[in-house]
Amino acid sequence: MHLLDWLVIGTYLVWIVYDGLKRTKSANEIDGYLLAKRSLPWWAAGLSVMATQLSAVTLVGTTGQGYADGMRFVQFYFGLPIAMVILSLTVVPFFYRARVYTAYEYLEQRFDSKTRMLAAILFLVSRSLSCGVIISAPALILSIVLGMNLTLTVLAIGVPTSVYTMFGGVQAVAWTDVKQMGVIVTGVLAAVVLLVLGLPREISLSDALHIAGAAGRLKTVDFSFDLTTNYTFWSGIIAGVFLMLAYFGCDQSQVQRYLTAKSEDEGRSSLLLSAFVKIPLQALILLTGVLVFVFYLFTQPPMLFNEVHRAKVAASPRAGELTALEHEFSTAFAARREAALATTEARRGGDAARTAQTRDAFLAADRTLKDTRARAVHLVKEVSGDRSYNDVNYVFPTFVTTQLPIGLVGLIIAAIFATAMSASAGEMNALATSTVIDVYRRHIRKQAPDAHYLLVSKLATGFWGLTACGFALYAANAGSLIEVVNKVGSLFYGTLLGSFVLAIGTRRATGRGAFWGMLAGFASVLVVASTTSISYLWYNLVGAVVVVVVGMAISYTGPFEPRPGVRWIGGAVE
Amino acid sequence: MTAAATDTPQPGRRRTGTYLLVLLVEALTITALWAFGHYFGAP
Repeated sequence: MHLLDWLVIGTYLVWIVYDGLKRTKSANEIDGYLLAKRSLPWWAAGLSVMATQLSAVTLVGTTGQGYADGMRFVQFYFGLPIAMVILSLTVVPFFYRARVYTAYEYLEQRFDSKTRMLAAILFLVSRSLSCGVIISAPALILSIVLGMNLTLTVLAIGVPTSVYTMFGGVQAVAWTDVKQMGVIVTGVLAAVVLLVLGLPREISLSDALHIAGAAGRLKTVDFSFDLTTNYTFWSGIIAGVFLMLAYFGCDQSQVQRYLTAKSEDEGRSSLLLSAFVKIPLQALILLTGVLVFVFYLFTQPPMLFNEVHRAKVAASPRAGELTALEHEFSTAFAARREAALATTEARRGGDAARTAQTRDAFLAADRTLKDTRARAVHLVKEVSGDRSYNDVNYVFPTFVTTQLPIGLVGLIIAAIFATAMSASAGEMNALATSTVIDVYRRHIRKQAPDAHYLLVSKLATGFWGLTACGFALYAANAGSLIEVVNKVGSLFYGTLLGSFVLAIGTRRATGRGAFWGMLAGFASVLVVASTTSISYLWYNLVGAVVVVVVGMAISYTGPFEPRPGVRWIGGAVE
Repeated sequence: MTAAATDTPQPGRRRTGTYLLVLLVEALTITALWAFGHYFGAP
């Protein structure tokens, strides 16, 4: 990378840390440190919600999915707008009126302390794992693509994030999120513009999209109903609603973002921003991946995008096989390029029969190329012993560092840093809040001055920052990064969602029912995950339904002793 | 540090129109995505 690109990345890092640390003064009370004194405008809280969700795993993994698999992944987000409407009508008013710091505090007010503790533990376990993955995934990719030491890339993401989150609290997280969203969107738009400009002169954008469509990359909506397929219209619109309800409604890393908004109405608006913007934004990121695919139809891509693994094979006794495959790959690439040009010409000519014929030839050439690459990937797996080798997540960073002009490389690498930092900052902040409010203040030191809790909150943030960096250094690169993070979350989310459905949606549920229902829900998700091939998106639905059914059954078997004045969605619990 | 969950609820602004708009925009977005793929020859 050029010196100018390093300067862009360095400037970005200094700017973000400076901007975060500026907020230290307004974080000198616990209410300011954890909830920004509920002072943020809806758009800032809303951008913070989006930035926390948009991790580097999403940016790099999604462009990789667009390249390899097309735009089907966008269906994953179809449930989001519906979930946001439901949350605006249900949990947002409850959390605001209860004036809680964490979502789990509400469970104690409604049920009892053990239910709150169980929910907080599920959150702390799942999010501490995912916080490490959020840092390790991009750090690993950047270390390989930029040729840097892995420890250095982990620290380059984790240390600045920990510093501004520790000292600036939630204000620093939210306002840096706003800036980081700006960097991310600018980076993605710049990549799209350069990809369009980088097409061969004889290929227009319309031609490029027709080729991508012929290769199946633009199939966005799949109406087939198959529980074992991850991304269909139905899994998105049904199972996706449950995942999004759980993530935005029960995960403290998101709840804390909208609790910083000035009012209940502004909190709702902050969620509705995602409802309007998220699907188009994800479609744009996927389209970026599709355009990278089109770009590499005319410019030869590397056969293997992970250079470190390629070098391992090249240095092994099987280097001859690699050379032969690379030769075969070059020949297949040339044939596919010619076929792509031929099908474009035929389509322009308007001859339907010839268009169909050249399209079939193009698809056959694409299959040959894919087959060669699949054999190369198999070779890497055999030589490296890494059975989960998958270089799809390296496609976009490789394209950026090898094809884009000086300066823009730095901007887009900074955008990848921004996604990792904004997502992990939200996690660290939420982990610290739950640790202090749900564990320390509730069970260890119940009465202490505000300054004491502020100090403990800062120490807890530092602790979670260090833990995330430590875990990130040891985290392995396993399969598709997006799915790893979502799968871990999906094991817990249904259970958390079920507990809030019982708390807010029913009058008769008791603490005993909620607690045992949650244990049953978590156990059922583990059984489904380990014994069936049902897509992970459905785990949330399974978990939530089991929690509600078992929770209500147990609640009806015991005495009903409502706490005075506690409310459910239908009114007072009496 | 926190008030109870028993605070008297203040009626929030009715936002039925906004919620319907969210769902309408989603339906239009999904239709547009489907049409986009269909127009460019997605199989």
